[in-house]
Amino acid sequence: MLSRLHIRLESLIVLVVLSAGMALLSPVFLSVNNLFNIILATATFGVLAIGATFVISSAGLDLSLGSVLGLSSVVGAALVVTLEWPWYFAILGSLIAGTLAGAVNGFIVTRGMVPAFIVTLGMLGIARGLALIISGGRGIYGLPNEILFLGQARPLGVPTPVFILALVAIISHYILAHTRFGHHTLALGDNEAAAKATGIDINRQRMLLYMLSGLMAGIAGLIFTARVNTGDPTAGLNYELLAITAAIIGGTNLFGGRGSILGTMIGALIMGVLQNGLNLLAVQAYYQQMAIGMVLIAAVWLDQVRDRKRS
Amino acid sequence: MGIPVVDLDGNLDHKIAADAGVDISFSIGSDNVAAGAQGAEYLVNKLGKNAKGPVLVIEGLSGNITGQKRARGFSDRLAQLAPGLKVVASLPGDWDRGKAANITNDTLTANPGLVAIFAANDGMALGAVETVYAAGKQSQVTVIGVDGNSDAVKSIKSGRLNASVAQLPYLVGKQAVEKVAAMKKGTKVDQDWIYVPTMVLTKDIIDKGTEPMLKYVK
Repeated sequence: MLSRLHIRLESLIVLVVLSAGMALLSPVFLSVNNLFNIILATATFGVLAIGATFVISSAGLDLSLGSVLGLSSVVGAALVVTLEWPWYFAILGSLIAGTLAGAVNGFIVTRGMVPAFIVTLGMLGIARGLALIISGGRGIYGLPNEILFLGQARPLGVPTPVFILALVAIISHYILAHTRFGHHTLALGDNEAAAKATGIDINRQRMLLYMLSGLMAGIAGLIFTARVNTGDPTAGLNYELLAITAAIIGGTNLFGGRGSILGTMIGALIMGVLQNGLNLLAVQAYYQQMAIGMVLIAAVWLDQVRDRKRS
Repeated sequence: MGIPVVDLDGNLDHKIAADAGVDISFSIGSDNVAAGAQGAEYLVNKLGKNAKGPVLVIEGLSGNITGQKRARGFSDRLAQLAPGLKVVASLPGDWDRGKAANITNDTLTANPGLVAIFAANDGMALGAVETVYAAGKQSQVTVIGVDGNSDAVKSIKSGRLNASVAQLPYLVGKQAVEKVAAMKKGTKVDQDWIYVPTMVLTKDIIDKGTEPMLKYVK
């Protein structure tokens, strides 16, 4: 059943063991409120991780995710706060800004034939610079209530970003695992020459993947803006690392050809549970860094052990 | 070579520079320890020196000296003025609003009776205060930031953020230039470190607008 859902047993084990450990150490860990808080905290980089999963599965890479999140945050807020356009332009602005940035990435990767690492690394700087220019280097504060609802409200007791993450994850999982687009993505990552030979339009596939990744960064930017009530040019700094880490822990193959959205969500939750536990236990800053590094290595090592046993 | 070197914002270690053959004329900037202390003084003024309750400190990037000084300045002064207000957690916000928001949620879970949050910069303070509002705890938790950013000022005016210890970078630059001009005329600068004051911004102070230092706030 697990392999039908494309989940790797190892990551699930790590998540369960980690959660059990935290529950033993902190009496408040298993409260409903805290569990929702974990998913809430995971939502922003979790959405980014979904974008990363698509791109990495195709043997690509998007290092610009964090910067595009910041750019989207600023664009959405600027339209609605500075220009005073209606509230829904914050949503439109963020999503379109993210998708456009992704399109630029995709264009240069496919037409310019520049390696994705370099292109998205360049976009990391360009998007961040644009965000700082548009915002004048300061936060754009004070979004309308409709936007705050997306980040701060708890309809039916569940934080809105949890709904957003769940919706995006379910749709993305369906796309990657059960549609032709998803199959082509994995095929491209597995063996580009073979994929081309079977008639897949490589350039079109890549273009759409980077646009999808950009769209995810736009959604994440919107969630961020709504949570902190600011269009923040420094938002998302280094978040691409979190996104890629979640995807890898969740079983996405860094070289392409294998990836699962549900797996990535487990990877993201492992990181979320860990950070939540460290906060609840008020663990001092320097020890937190060590703990995070150690869990990351342990999680991926467990993954590799099973791989090696198989082969 | 005779070119005076001035350290704006005080990030250079004078001894290390001297060992390397660089003579720093003076360092000038905000006193970050004092800024943290001012945050504590504001809080104790507001809650009273006999107040009791858990307090959260949100630090800056791990290892960053500015964040460390502010956090330490706050914690030390708070312990001196109001021993009933205990810092139950001092967690790294990495100057990230999102991370500060998550830290706030988690600390509220572990300490539902939280009475105050001190963040080492405004960005993190704003992430914290928005989360406090989302959790419905605004009447219970006082939130204080450092920097006096434009978005912090907006938040204070609208009654959300309680206070921010504002730096006066314009004044730092102005005084630095004045000192260098004086040096050129031959006046010796006898201080190694020149501290430019910081001021606590609250809704009252901003609304009244009569404080002379307000014109130096960003």
